[in-house]
Order: sequence, then C-alpha cells, then structure tokens
Amino acid sequence: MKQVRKYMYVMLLFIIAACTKDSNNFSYEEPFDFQISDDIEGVIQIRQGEILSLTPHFDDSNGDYSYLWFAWPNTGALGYNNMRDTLGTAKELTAEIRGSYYIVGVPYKLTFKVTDNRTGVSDFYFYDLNITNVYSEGWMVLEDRNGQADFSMLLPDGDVIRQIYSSINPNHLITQPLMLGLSSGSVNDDIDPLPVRKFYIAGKNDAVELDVLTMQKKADFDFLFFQPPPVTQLSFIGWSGTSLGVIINEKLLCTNFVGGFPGAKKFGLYMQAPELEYDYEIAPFVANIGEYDWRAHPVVYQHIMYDQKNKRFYNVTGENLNTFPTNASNTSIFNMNDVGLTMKYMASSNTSNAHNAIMYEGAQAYLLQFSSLTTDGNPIITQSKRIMTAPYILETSASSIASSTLSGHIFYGYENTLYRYAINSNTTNQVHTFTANEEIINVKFRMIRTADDESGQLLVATWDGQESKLYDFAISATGAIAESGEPAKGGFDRVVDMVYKNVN
Amino acid sequence: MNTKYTNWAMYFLIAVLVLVGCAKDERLLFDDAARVYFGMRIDGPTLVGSDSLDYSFAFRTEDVIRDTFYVHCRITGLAVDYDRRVNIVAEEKSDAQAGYHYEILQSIIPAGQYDNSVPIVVHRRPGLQDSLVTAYLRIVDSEDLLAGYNDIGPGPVYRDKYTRQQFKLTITDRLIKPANWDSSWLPVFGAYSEVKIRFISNVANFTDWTGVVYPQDRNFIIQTAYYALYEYEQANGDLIDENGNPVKFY
Repeated sequence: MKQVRKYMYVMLLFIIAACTKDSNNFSYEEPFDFQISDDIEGVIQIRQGEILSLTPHFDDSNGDYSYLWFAWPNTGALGYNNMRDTLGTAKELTAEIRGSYYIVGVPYKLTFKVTDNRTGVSDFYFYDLNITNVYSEGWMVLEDRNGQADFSMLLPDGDVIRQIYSSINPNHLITQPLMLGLSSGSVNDDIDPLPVRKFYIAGKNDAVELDVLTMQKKADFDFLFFQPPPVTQLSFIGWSGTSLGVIINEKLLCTNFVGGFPGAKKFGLYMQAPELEYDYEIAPFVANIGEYDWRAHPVVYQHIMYDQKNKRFYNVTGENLNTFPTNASNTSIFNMNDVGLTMKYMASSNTSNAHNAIMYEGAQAYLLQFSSLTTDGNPIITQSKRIMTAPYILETSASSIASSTLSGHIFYGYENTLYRYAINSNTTNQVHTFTANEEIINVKFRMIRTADDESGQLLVATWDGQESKLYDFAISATGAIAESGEPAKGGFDRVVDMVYKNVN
Repeated sequence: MNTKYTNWAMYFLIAVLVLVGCAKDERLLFDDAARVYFGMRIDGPTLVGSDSLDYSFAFRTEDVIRDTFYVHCRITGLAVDYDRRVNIVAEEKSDAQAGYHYEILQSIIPAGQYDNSVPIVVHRRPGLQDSLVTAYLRIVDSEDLLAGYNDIGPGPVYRDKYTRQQFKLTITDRLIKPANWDSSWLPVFGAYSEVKIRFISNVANFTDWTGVVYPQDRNFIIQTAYYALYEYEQANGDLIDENGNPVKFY
C-alpha cells in the first residue's frame, strides 16, 4: 500500500508539472484578422504598357505593416516555376504592365501581401489579370477589298483600325471573302499550349486560323485537319459553343470534337448522314445549346444543323449526324426529321436555348421555333411554326438578317430599309430608311448585359457602290430602336461579315 | 529477498540495453550474386514493359522486311565497371527460329548501368504469310549474371502469365482479328474481314487496333474510312472481301 502511494505521489508530481507554462515565445492571443478587400470584381483586363492602379481596403491605423505586390503567370501550361514580377512595396499600387514580362493572352495572378512587422504574420489578397491588346474588343468587320479578304476593327471608343489582316499577314492572301469565325469561349484542343478562343478568316476556297489577340496567322487550312479534304469549297467555319468545331466544306460536315480527354484534337473528314451517306447539304448555321441546368433537362441536343437537300434537321454529336427520336417532334407543328422546307436563316432567339429558323417554300416564308432542351415528361422540342408576314425577307441575303436575343424580334434589311419583324404579333415595321443609294448588306445584333439592365446593339452595314458605312443603333429591352448618336463610320470596302469580339 | 534480486536484475538489464544501444552498427550491403530479369522501364510518369509481344507485319508496307523492338532487362545488385552478358535463350517448345525469324542483338548490361533495352530484330519471312511462329524466350544464367526473379504477380512484378525470366514473342505476316473487334469496332465497321481491316488501316494509317484510342482519333478513323470506302465504291463498285462479300461498314 505504501508502495502504491509512493507511485501516486510521483504521478501527481508529473500532472502538476504538466500544467506549468514552459518558456516559449507563443502568444495565446487571438490571431489578427487582416480584413483586406477591394471593390474590383472579376478579372482585370489591362494592356501591355498601361499603368495598373489599385487601392485595396485595409485598415493600417493600429499597426506597423509592410506591403508587397507581385505577379506570376497563372497557368499550368507555362508551369508554375516562372520568375515573378514585383510591382511595388507600397499599400497602394501604381505600376506599369511591362511588355517585357507580361504576355498578351496569358492570365496572371497578382498578389497583395500584407505583413504585420511586429509578429511577422502575413496575409494575402489576390487579383486576376488578363493581358489584352488593342484587338481585344470590338466589332471585327470582314471586307471584300478588290476580291481579297481583309478585316477592320471598330473599337468600343469609336476608333477604327483598318486592314488588320493584310498588314499583319501580307504573305497569305485569301480570295473570295466568306466569313469570320470566332468561338464564343476558349477551346482546349491540346494543340495550343493554353485554351484559347478560335478565330478564322475564310474565303470560299481557303481559310486560316489567326491568333485571336495578335491576329497573326497560326495555322493553314490543311493543318486544321487530321487529313484535309481533297477539295476546299467552304460555306462555314467556326465553333458551336466550345466543344464542337464545325467546318462545312463541299456542303458536307466536318467536326472537331474536344473534351476532357487527352491528345491533340483536329477536324476529321466528312460525316455521314444516316442512311444517306454523303447525299446531303448542310446549311451554314448551327443551333448551339447555351447554359442550362442539366438536372432539369435529362436529354438535350447540343448542336442542331439543317440539311437543305433532304429538308430536315440533324442532332449533331462529335461522332455522328443523328436522326431525332420520334418523340422529339410534335408533328402537328413540324417534324424535325422531315421539315420539307428550305432554310434561309437560323439563330438563337430571345428565349433561353430556343432558336429561330426562317424557312421557305416557293415565295412563302415560315418561322419555325424549336428548343435544344427537353424536360422530364416532355421530350418535344418543336415549339411553333407560322407563316411570316415579313415583306422582302426572302429577297434579302441571310447576312442581312439578325435575330434578337433580347426581345421577340428579327431585324432585317432590304435595299435601303431596315425592318423589324415582331414574332408574337407576326407583323413587320419599317424602323429606319437610309439614303436611296445605300443598300443594306449586313445586319448584326449583339446583346449587352450589365449588372443593371439589358440592352442591344444593332450594327448595320450599307454599300453605295463606292464604300461601306457602318451604322450603330441602340435597341431597348422591348425591341425599340434608336440611333445611337454615333456618326456613321465610312471608308470600308464592301462588308461581307461582322462579328463582335468580347474580352474574355 | 526476491524483490531485492528482482530490482538488481532490472538495473542490470537496463544498463546492458543502454550500453548495447551505443554500439556502432555495421553497414548493411547487398552482397548476393548479381541477377538479371525482364523488368519495367520508366517512361516519364509511367512504367512501360510487357511479358510478351505479338508482332504482325500484316499492316506494314511490302518494303518493310525487318523491324526492331526492345525488351527491357534490369539487374539486382550493383553496377560494375565492365559489360555483362545477359543470356537469353529460346525454350524447346518455340517454333520461331533464332537467326531466321528473329535475332537478339547486344544482350548486355553495359558497364556502370543497372538496366538496358536489348534490341530484338524480327524478320519478314515468306512463310509468315500463312503462319504464326512463337519464341518463348527465357533468361538463364550467364558467366556474368544469374537468372533473376522467376515470379508472377501484380505491381511491382506486373506479370500475370509469364514470369520475369520469360518473354513470349509471336511473329506473323498474317492478319489476325483484333481481340477487341467485336466489343469495340463491330458497331462502327461491322463484321470483321481481312480485306476490310487492311483497307481501313491503309486509308487511316492506323494499325494499333487493340490499343487505347481517344475519341477524336476514333472519329477520324471512322470518318476517314467511311469516306474512303464511299469514294472507292463510286470509282470501282463494291470492294469484295476474302469471302466474296462486299465490304460494308453497317
């Protein structure tokens, strides 16, 4: 018993000793919360040579702090062992984005490091930078310059940069200008080191891929294919979303299917149509699915295209042209697999994931509407078919028709008059008339979405036999049209195509 | 009395343990005889190696009369400052003739190295057009290196049929239906025939039928073959296979 008590005393001694504070430099105070913030949201778009000024919110009134601003390329494609660029050591940043370090098109992570000098503890606040250049945003306008393709840019500030293609790529002329193709977002094809937007300038017998920021030629037409087609007779080149490249050559469909799988992706040769082999003619339009909630839509049709020869739609996948299941069509409206009409024009409507297709038979125009989405219990995607009351819409070219994604309207130009077709009322109004010698040759619509509201911009190109002019119209959410107040931009060669390039 | 002896015994034991713990260890070195086996090769982030190879000249153009592949040999033990011979022999059940159907070149572990890829040349002989020959290769003891692991198992052994002393080589010039044809290619190319697979391989420049094929490459093969057959039929009519049937893909 005495022995046990002795052991208990020893144990008690250990327990008491364990409660004694040892000699260390630990602090048992609450850690300091740095509370760094900034009003800037999203990615900072900035050009080489510009001054970057940032004023983050940080209360430094009760302490002694030091600051460090540094940045590095934020992409695995370039590796993460690059030298970093130190931009400043003050609380507020004012620094030049030097062209010797920052590469156009490469994303950078900018770090604001705050260190408490008393404790050595640091906290970090991060910004994302995207290095842009003068070609980063604006309307790209394809022109026919004496039979050669060239393009200009109408910048957001109203400036015009002309002859961009020919001045940067003088050794690769493209004849018979056809179109500009620009993907809506970055494409990861494992050929470019970074996912980038795809941009093409195309003639009827040739096309090249350009760097979307520098406008320098990246690839000849043949390079776009694993095995190029024997003949080049283009009618379309571009991307449906960011997952399917689309080239229509000899009116046959070639695709480039990209996804999360490894290996270089390029365009394949012509797809076969079900039971028709190559006896089909694809119209130069793609109905692409947009954003959607996959949980609410078990079956979707990502890419829908139209066969002019067999007068029917196809559900296009990376592998095949597919027939739609019979339950996708309400045949009392129309049958996706047997439409029986010729396509004039197709584009997105103002309803999410729904599309407007202007069709005709003889002199009669029809508007067909369909969706890319099905829902649980409702596999039908055909929505409506109506005879259009839209004078001259079949007389004008498809390039002079623009479906609004803002309101239920379709704008189109014929001769010198701009029309607005209202889908719901099936009526058409003249909304603007140009001088008698100006013919409308191209109309494009773009939606402008801000945090506060939505509006639209309609760019109209005319031709008077000598030059093309661009007219800028503001479109309200109800489809009302107003001249923007911007003077017309003249001095263009005959406009063939217009594409708006966003910074993204 | 007993407690006293027990305490002294405990003190003595602790003292012995303390003294032994301070002793310097002898260095442990591998001193077994050096051995060699068919091992895995490190290629970037992956291990590459196999216990067999089925080599076919059937997809190669006629001007290809020989080809070389490599088997990776690895040693246990330390490198030495002279070349050491790896003795690779064919087992009796082999019907491929060494020196005629195949040749093993430079079967050594070079001085200073722990492994080597030994080149084996395969020859395209006329008799291979209607037959398949097999060489069951085995590493046996040489004057420099004893035969190594003779085991089968999952990683790090990576052998499920032949041991790390064995390597099976088949050589043929005859087309063999890929083992995955029915599961992978039948839905897009239909029933197998030699004329069909030779046609597809030729137009799409594709021969690795049993390998991993990414979606974009598979699409390319399908689309290229379909269009080539269409063009062939437009120019020549049906392509007839070895059974007298027209080649169709669906």
